[in-house]
Amino acid sequence: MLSWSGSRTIVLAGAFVLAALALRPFPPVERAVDLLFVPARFARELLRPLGWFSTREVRATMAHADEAFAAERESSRQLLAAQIEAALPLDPRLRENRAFLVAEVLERDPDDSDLLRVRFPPGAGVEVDMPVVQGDAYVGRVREVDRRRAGEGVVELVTDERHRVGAAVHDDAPEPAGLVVGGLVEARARRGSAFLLGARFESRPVASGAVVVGESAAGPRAERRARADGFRLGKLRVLSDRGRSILGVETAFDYAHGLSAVAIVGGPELATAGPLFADDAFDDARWTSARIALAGDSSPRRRTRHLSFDDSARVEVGAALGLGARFVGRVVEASDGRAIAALLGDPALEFGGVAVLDGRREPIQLGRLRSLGFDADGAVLLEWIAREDLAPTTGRSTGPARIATAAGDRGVPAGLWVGACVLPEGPGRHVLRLVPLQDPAGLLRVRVRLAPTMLEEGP
Amino acid sequence: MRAARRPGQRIVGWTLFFVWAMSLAGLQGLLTRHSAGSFIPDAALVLSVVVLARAEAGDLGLIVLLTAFARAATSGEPPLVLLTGILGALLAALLLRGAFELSGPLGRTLGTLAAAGFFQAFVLIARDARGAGSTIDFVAAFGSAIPVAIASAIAALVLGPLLARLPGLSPLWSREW
Repeated sequence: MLSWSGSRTIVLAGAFVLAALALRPFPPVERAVDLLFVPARFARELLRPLGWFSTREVRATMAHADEAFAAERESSRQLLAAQIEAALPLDPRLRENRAFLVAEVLERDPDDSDLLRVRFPPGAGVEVDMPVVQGDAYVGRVREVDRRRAGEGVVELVTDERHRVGAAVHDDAPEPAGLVVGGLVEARARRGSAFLLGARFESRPVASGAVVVGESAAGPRAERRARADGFRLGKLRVLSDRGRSILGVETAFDYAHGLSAVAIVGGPELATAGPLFADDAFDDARWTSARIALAGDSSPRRRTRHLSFDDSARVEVGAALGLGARFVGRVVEASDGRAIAALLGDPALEFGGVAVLDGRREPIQLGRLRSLGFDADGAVLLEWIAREDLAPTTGRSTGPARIATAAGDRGVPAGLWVGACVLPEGPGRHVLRLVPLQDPAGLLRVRVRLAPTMLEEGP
Repeated sequence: MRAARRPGQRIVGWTLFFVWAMSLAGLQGLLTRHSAGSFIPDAALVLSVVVLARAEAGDLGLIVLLTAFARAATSGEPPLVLLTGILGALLAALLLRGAFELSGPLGRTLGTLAAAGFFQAFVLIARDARGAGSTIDFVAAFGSAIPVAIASAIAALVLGPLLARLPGLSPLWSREW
């Protein structure tokens, strides 16, 4: 055997290699080390008796959450109803001869942020090319209906470079001018909080005017697409760039944030009856119970927990952890009936949020909230990048507010309550000091959101 | 002189070292659950330094592995980060062994200060490095590590002799203590 002094060089070289691999993960090595550490999962069970010290505290917490559940579920449903209302058009003319199916945004495609995965009631009659709107604004159209996950589909946003939609510009002339709109104007995609959609004239040129959808093609697909006629796209702008004229449609609609619920537009045959959202946050069949081996994390500033399940649960990375109607964290790693979760206050936690200001009903879409840490009094620090057009319709966007989860994160249902904070004024980066509705620190049992059932692939 | 130990005794010794390290890591987790844990000592690492001071240098690999196992059971950090962090931390302590007697009050205090400081900073740096699109904040990492390093060093100074007398560890010592 080598002496310490003899093997020092080898050990130091090995340490440097390991450090490089730890800082820049190489998946095969990572998997091999994870495999080496599998026995640690079982050893963890030896620590379960440490939980006995907090049995009384845990029971009191669970009882309190149970008592509050009915009222919190009701207020959550009111919040979802307000979100659904916000997804439907306000202009009565846009509602004529159309049916609207509200779909919940599950997530953005990780490789293409212009594609949204949405969930709607299975069997509702959703088809490819159906337009998708939010309020009076055109959002995009259904690109794909998933055959493996019932009630899921992909929506292509108008900001996608492949997207083209017929449009009409209303100026002072008796007949509107024709346009084709789609994608973003390169390098000038955003002006402040506004997007600049690409456009080209199909008929006479015009200098300015309000742009709405106006599909003119023929055929069954075009008929479906034409259900979007009249929905707002924005204002026509002719910009100058190094002596070159650039035509674009400026829209205040923020396609990057706030797409929590959208409405799929169809004919009267579209089945619109169904639950508030197809993905009901309180459907017991979509939750499983998980045990927490140790209500603590030996790494300072971390709030992770190792979870074990009573059955072979279909838990995916990103799944929400809840207690009643309360959100307490998300799964960050999942395998073989075990998982690691990041609780509120852990720096690995991110989720989409909505705020409900005190005394108001309309929710404000906050976009991403990133957990930064927690204070000794249990308050959770959340990073929030506020947009300029935060609450264009509600007028007020600051003050005490309750925070809930938004749709748009796979595994996290909309409408779970997170806590209360004061929304600060102005756009830019803010750190919210959130008082969580449920302090997750001492929990020994939580509920975990299950993945939806996969269907057999068709021929 | 190394005390003559039967292999069976050493296996029991290493098993008990793992159980003690995991229990200390678990207690540390319970202590930090309601606070940011700034001034809470890294108890499992303190025990590792205490054992390293009395064990053979060749036992370094086993101490690192068992400490990393104990931490992995109580932490959400990736095992490779824990393994590397603990190896680096104990190497830092071991390098001090040339200048100080690690089992003495000054040596174990400084050794633990270096080990805990390195480990905490490394874990934070690794978290930044692994985060998508994030930059590594070295100053913040070492700044955050200082309170834990100081608390751990004080714990090593005060509790070191007690930890060295935990039941079952004596078969690991390289000489009679």
